[in-house]
Amino acid sequence: MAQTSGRFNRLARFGAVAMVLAFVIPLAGLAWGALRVPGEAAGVAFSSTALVPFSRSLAVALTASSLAAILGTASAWLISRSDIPGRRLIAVLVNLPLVIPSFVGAFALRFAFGQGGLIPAIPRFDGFVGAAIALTLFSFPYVTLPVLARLSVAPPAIEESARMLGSGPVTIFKDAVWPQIRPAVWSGSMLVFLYSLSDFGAVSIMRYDTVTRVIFSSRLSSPSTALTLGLLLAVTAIVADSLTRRRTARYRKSSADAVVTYPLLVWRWPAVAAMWLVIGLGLIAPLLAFGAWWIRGAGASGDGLAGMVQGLGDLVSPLLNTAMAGGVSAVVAAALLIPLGREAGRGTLLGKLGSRAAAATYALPGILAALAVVFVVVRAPGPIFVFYQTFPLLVAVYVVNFGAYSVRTTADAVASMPAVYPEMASTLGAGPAKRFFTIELPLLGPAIAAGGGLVLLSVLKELPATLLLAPIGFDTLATRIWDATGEGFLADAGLASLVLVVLSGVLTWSLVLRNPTIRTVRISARKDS
Amino acid sequence: MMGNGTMVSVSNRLSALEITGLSHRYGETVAVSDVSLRVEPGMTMALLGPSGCGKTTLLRLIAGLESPESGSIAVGDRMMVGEGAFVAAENRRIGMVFQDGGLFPHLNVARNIAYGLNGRADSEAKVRQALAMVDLEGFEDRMPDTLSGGQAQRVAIARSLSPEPDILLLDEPFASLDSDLRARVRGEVVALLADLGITSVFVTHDREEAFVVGDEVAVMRSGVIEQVGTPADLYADPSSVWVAAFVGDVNVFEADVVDGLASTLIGPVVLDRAVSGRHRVLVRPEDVVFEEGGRAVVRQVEFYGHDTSYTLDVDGTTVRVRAMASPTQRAGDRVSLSHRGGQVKAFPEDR
Repeated sequence: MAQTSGRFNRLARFGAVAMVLAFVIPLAGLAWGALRVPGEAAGVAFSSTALVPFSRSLAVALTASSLAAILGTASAWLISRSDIPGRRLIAVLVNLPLVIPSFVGAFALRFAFGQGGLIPAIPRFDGFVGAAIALTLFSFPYVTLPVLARLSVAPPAIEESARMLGSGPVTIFKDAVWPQIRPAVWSGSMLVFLYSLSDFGAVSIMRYDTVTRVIFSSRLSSPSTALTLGLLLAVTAIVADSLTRRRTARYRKSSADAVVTYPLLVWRWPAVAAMWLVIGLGLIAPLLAFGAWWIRGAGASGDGLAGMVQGLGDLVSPLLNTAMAGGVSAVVAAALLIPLGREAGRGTLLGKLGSRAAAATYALPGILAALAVVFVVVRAPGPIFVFYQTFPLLVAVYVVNFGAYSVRTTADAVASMPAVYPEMASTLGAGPAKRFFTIELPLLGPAIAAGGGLVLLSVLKELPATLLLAPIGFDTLATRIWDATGEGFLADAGLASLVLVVLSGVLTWSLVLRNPTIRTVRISARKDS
Repeated sequence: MMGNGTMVSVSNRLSALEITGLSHRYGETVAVSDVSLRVEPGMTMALLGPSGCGKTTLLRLIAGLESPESGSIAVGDRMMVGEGAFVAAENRRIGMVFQDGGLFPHLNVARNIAYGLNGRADSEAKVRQALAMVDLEGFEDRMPDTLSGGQAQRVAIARSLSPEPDILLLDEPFASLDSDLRARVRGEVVALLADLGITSVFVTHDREEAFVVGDEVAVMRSGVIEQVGTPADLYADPSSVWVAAFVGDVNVFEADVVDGLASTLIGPVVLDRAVSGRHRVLVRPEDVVFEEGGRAVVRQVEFYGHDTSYTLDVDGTTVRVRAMASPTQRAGDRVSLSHRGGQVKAFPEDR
């Protein structure tokens, strides 16, 4: 149908090209900003102002991703292959730390323990150790989920025959299981690596000065340092992201549901203890801490129940702001990216270019996306400059930063939609516009909505771009938590955190964990630093 | 069953389909090569060929879903492609029925059928008529996923016919049905096409289907039309050994021919022309007869009820024989073979 080009098709192509530009401009702006003075970038990049935070970023990201690989693989194996007591409950709970944005979780861990905390007996998590633990705890399900998915479809025959040949569990894991799950472990931990590299909130709360923190603090005083560090981080993120892409292997699936189970024997109780420690720290402790701070805060102010309700009332405006920013961004991203998603789904050159660019801005830490847009906008002519720190610009940054979700889900749906439907429609006399609105759009609807939902979820948890770009006085749940932790208002932070976690939990559950349209966990809520 | 009662009126101006010098390639692969074909008004042309021969591509070119490299397609006096013209699929008035029906999954039966009617005032009545035509009255509100394969295919045909196209294209429309249902729906569709008198092209890889459906059959191989003719012509007078073997079982004997008399494995065979030299002689299994005792050994006997098929070995060469009777021989028996007589085709060795 390439022949039936008309006004509609030209319009669609124009829409796709415009969005490709929207993805490319921030990247180009960042590169130009960092490299416009020759030699300056190199000078910054090789100075200790850059190398020290950069090595810290790498160290914390490598540590968190390695720990997550171990924790994620072990938990997935225990859930799907062992006789661990309470297997079903553990299976439900162990992935839930994902709904807690890392900076929210980090805040709970940092202030719950040590002197002045809820449990003074346990020493405070802090610095490198605190950042690494927080990032691991709130992101390891990125490994658990794909490994579980892989284990559940791995043909049991391989393990059964290894077992009948007399191998023990360790040998079976090494020879029969590991080769099956290795790609899933790899891509999951790469995701944790990218996530940790991008993280701003958790490392800030743990007072560990990584690249993102230096960028945040030096963006006004030394823009060249910020931009050079940004470029360094962007290149690292994009390289890491493309490594994930290349390592996705496809294996034969099995529909047989005969599951091989291994008795844990003496390891039974240590395994149970380890799982519950992870669930306790990653899920239960933060929730209890938020609740305790909220109640205690209300009690301290002497208002009791009224104080607690008063606290909730104060959250109405940030909650509405969060919902509005997320909702508008989701709708805008879903709608504007349909043309590009179609191009990508059909595998055209424009589509490939667009999805590559979207993936690159997606891999870009939120703080860099914001930095790049600020850099471009403040130098732009007046008509564009007036958008600085306005709601439309904030939405634009979210759309550019998280648009990859929409591109990807739409493209997947377009690629899997049988060509026969639009072709059939054209033999029934339908032109391109009628085909699109009556056939394609209704069939793609669920996928487009799912993509928008993931954008919504990401915006909900986003922190640094919101801090930099939100209009003055525009509070979201994330910025409210951030401000409250900075000023030590634990009660406010606790309540706002509870609300945010519940919201994000509901959305994650319905959009990521329960949604068959989202086939890959790869594209899941990553940016919430 | 179908074709009785109310009829959707097809435009009374019946159109011929005229294809001239049509070529198309996908990248380096030539799919359709210099094809010329004419389908007379109101006739059904069966396009028969092995998978990958380009028959579906030819159909898609006619529909306007692909744009040919060269050549032209005309319906009546409307030029669809060629001489600088290209009419988009949606403007061709050419209907198409796809292999698996292609019913829009999000629309119910009535809205599927009404899709091509573009909100005409009488579309409700049209839908009812179309459903009556395929004997599915009362199915208006059913969703496609609740239909059986045969029902879905009948709705698909009703949907393609309701905008009253000039030409109807059918791309292996019964391939996904199981054999009993397939024969039944096929019979109904043949009757319907004949009643409507619509010009149609029917793609299939199944010889039997092509013979049943087509007023004429075009045999296609590697992007080229090998032969066009009525089913009886193709069977009796194939243009090559390949066509002969593709449209039916055939024994190919290498034989020396003198003045139209071939000396074959099964004895002398009189050819339809007084040729001489080395030839490949084509003898259908039903034209071979046998008597007890001889140098042919029976290897396999397959009894089909109405006929029996024998596989025999003559000096290391396999010969097939079909007899309209119950088995009279068993594996291991020895017989002697001869030709029944009648028209026999032969081709020089290089064809």
